[in-house]
Amino acid sequence: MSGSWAQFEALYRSSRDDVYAYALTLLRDQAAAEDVTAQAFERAYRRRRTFDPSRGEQRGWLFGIARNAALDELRRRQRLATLVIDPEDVQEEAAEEDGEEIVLRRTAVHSALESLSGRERELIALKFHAGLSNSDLAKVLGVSESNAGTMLHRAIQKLRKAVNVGV
Amino acid sequence: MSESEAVLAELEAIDATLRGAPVDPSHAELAELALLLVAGRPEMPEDVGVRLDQKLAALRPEPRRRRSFIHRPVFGLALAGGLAAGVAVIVLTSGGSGGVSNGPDVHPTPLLAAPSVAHGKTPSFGANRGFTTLAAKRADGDSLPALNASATTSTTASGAPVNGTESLSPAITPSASSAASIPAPINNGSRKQIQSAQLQLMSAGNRIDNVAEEVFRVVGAQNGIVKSSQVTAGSGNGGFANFSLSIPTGNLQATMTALSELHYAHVVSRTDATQDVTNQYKSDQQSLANALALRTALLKQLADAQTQAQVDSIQQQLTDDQSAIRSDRQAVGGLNNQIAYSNLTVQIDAGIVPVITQPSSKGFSLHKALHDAGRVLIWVLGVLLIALAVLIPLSVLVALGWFGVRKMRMRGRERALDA
Repeated sequence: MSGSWAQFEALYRSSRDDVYAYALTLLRDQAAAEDVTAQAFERAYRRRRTFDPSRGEQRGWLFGIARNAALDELRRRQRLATLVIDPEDVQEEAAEEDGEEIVLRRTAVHSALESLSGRERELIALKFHAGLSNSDLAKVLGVSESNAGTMLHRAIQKLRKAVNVGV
Repeated sequence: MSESEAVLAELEAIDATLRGAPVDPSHAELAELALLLVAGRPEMPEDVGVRLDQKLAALRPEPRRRRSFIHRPVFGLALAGGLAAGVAVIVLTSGGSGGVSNGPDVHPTPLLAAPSVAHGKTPSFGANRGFTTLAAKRADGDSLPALNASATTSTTASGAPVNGTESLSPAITPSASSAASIPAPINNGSRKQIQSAQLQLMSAGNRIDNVAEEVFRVVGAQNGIVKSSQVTAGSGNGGFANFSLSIPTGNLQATMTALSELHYAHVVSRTDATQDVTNQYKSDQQSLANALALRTALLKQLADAQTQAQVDSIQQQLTDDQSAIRSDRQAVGGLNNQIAYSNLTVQIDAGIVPVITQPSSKGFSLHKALHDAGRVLIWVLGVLLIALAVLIPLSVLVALGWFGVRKMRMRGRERALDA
């Protein structure tokens, strides 16, 4: 990023919802997700000159920052032993607009997602909510691309089992 | 299909689903799960979006104001440059050797490293050019006899004046000429001059005896006299020898040349001194002539004396005149001896000896400026070297600490996911 405000704003517009979705999936707290999203963009703006295009996409770099912010928040919440809210309400709002079958499937997936560990849930969030490619996923997690693919596959397998059990 | 291939196929199916591309029917369930996950993405409430937009707006930088001159980097650089120049000037004017130091710097110099003259060779001093003419003053401040003009030449291997004499001419730059270029004594025909010289040699400690033998040999060959000598040979590197010689003036330069070319020693410094005693010589001669003339007259008067009282008086005057003649003859003889024989002092050192650096004369010259600039540069480099010696280990420690803290923080974050 050359540091211009317009470029940063474009990144914000294209990634804001994804970062929020990722943070909410990981933290399961709307207020915390909002804080983390704001913090991530603030940090990204301050460090915008550290972005190196030769090392990957801008979104990967942004999600690396968002991940650190989210994990810091997660640690803080663990220290404070704050109870997380159940994002069930969000699902309930959407349920009214869709068909019953789909609602059931979504609920099953949602429940299965809840049964995953934080690490697995993070993988799902980065892949399906933030829309990162496997290579960006690998960069954000600091692992090789093949390792990231393997981890993602395991998480999906676990999720599939949980969904099938739920259904 | 192997397990890894199956994994890759499923991952590809997921990516294809997310791209909206068709997938193999065998991956239909996986594709459906992927779509459900995407559809189940939490949506951002509108109010959250508004608040985030507001926070983003707060980050927007204000339009840049034109910076005043003093805030520009150029001004900072100019200021820093000015300060550096000021410091350099202060160093040059206070600490540099530009001629304002208050006393000679004495620092030990390894014996064998002092002069850059080849072993056993005479340092070359350009023919008549470059010899330093010195004021007719002794170290204790007494003037030489007032009726005679005096001249002293003094050189060192490094071209600096020695032994407390004050340089009135530019420093001498040794050249590659041989000992034959030693200047001839000032000889103006009827002028009467007393010459003396000092020679300081350096030798290895275990060669002091050899050098002393060579000195004796040279003195004998030049019909000189060793008035006194002292040779102290140490077991290690130390050693010292001192010779007080009387050399026929005609052979003085040949002797100096021979002593400058000794096999086991090399010249550190040499000093040639010349004292013009023509007026004193003439005065003494005149006194003697007057006394002789008086005696002749008195003898005539004695022959013509009539009374015993006259005889007694003349005889008394003759006695006084005789003692005056004797005194004048001694003075003339002594002066002749001094003119005919020159005193030569040879000093041989081995080991570490102090090298006295005379404060240079005041004033500005390109040579001094370059010398001072070199010193400043060396000083700055020294400071930088010391700073680096401190900063590099410190930087490594800080980097290691920073790396450790970063690793710990990353581990802490990862642990948060596992909790």
